Amino acid sequence: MNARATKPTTPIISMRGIVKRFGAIQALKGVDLDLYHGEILGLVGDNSAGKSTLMKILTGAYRADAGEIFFEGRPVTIHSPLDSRRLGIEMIYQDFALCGNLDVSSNIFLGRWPTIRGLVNRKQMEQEAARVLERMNLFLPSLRLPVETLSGGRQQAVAIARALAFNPKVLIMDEPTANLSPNASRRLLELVSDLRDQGVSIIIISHRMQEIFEVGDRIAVLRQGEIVGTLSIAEATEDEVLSLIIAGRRSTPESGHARA
Amino acid sequence: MPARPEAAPTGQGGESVQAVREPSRLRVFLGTYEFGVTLSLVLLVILVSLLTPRFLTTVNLMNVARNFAFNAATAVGEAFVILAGGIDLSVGSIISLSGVVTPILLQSGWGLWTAISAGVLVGALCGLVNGVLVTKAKMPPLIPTLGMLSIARGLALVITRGRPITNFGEHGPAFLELGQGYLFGVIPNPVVYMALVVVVGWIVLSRTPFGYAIYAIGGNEEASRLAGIPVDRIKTLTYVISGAVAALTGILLASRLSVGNATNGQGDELEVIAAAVIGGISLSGGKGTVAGVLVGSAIIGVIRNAMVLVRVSAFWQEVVIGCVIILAVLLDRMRHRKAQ
Repeated sequence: MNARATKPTTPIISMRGIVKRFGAIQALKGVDLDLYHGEILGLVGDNSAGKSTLMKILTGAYRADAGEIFFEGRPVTIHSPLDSRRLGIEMIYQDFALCGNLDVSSNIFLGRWPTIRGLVNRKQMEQEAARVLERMNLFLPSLRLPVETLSGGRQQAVAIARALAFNPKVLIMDEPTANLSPNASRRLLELVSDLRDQGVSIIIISHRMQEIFEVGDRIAVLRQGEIVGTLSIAEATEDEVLSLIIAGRRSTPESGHARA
Repeated sequence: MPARPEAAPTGQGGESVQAVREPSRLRVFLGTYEFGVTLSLVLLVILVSLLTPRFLTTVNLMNVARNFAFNAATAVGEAFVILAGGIDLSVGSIISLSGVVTPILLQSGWGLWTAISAGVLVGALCGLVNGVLVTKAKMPPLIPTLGMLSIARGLALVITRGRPITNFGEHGPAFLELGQGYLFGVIPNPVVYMALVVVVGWIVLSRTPFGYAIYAIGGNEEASRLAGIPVDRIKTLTYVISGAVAALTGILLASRLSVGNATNGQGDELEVIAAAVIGGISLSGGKGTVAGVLVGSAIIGVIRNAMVLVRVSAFWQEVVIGCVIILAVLLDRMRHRKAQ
């Protein structure tokens, strides 16, 4: 099924045979996924296909029941979000995963607050937060406002800044444009392309196929806990991907009876 | 992402859009809950001093301070737990348990500081059990701490066989001096103790990564976990801190009252939680400061003292405190509904 497995570089991330069960439900049934250096990989599939579960295993939020993860060719164990962040993997969650009661800079440095003699160094934190936001062309009126008082778009800016503050090697974005206006979505996609050009490897989970076709390099399709196809964007069509999502086959579907 | 606004739209009422500069510290302070609650305390003090001339005397004020000092210190420990999204109902019973453990050890000849350390350790252990049951057994905090409320009180009764302990052995005088003495001859020791707990609590909560993590967990536990914060360890520690502070309070209270009694601190958990909530510690976690807790404790202390001065019967006092607690939680609810 793999339409394209040949790329000159070695993958930065290889997931092999990933299995995850929730009680009686097998959410992932032995998934293989590769992410190459400096590419944008779209991860698509139906609502319960296992996309978020797979990504949460990569970020250490869940632990896989079986399978291996290789990072830059080395086998790694990711047992907690800390393990994953140490490797340079950052995820921007669909709900942003911010602490609404904390201010902007405390959220950007969530869990990694810079310290001086055991105390949080607010000055350094605010300066670096401002620098990160500026570098990303993200603007916020104040760094001292609790983020729950900010609009959805601005909250996302905080989430993005947090993911980028420590120069990640891998960035995972879960439905990044779901809550954005068309204009804001466009700017976000530009940012994503820029990051790829700077060498960040990116996985995007999205329902909006045209966005993945716009910025992506490859697209992987999950269906009922299995990868049913990995296509090069340059060679694939949206219809092909859709039929993979719905029927698990690449041929033009008669989707009427293919839907389970 | 919203772009930087080029200019603030002029002539439009309401919020200013161009807020590139941080708002001044004074304006931020005047808008805080702590400022509002301090204002309430001042008004309360004025009201009470108009009602009875005996209130605003040095002797009485020192009395008030000494009485609420115990609750304020316990409430600071409790605040650690509530800020991280939990609740600790066992502090009143830990006050009594440690308040009998240390006297009994003194009675049987232990040294002063080893007996006190052992008492504190007992409280910390109770907290550890609470914390492990909350984080590892995934119980809602109400249950294990309610169980601990009963267990610690019961143990205190078992240890003392229900009798008050008034013989503190050879270190008795030194022990009693702790709770009854004065610093520089004027400041009652319990007030000094409270001040220490408040200052340390304030620094830890507002300045250290540990304190930041507590606020983060109270704000969004899942997000904190995803950011790599050791959520379970920190939540457990908040219960240990609450237990240890309650224990220290209990030991000091036994010294102040010259008696280690299983009934010391009975019902204190409610007053402590009320002080925290009145002081702006949100029961849903993540919001409030130690300064607020101090003021909240003072408010309850003043109300109690005022009722004594104007001769409200002890039974009615409990009714009033109960009403204050409910009112405080109601206000907390309303504040947070407004915030959303």
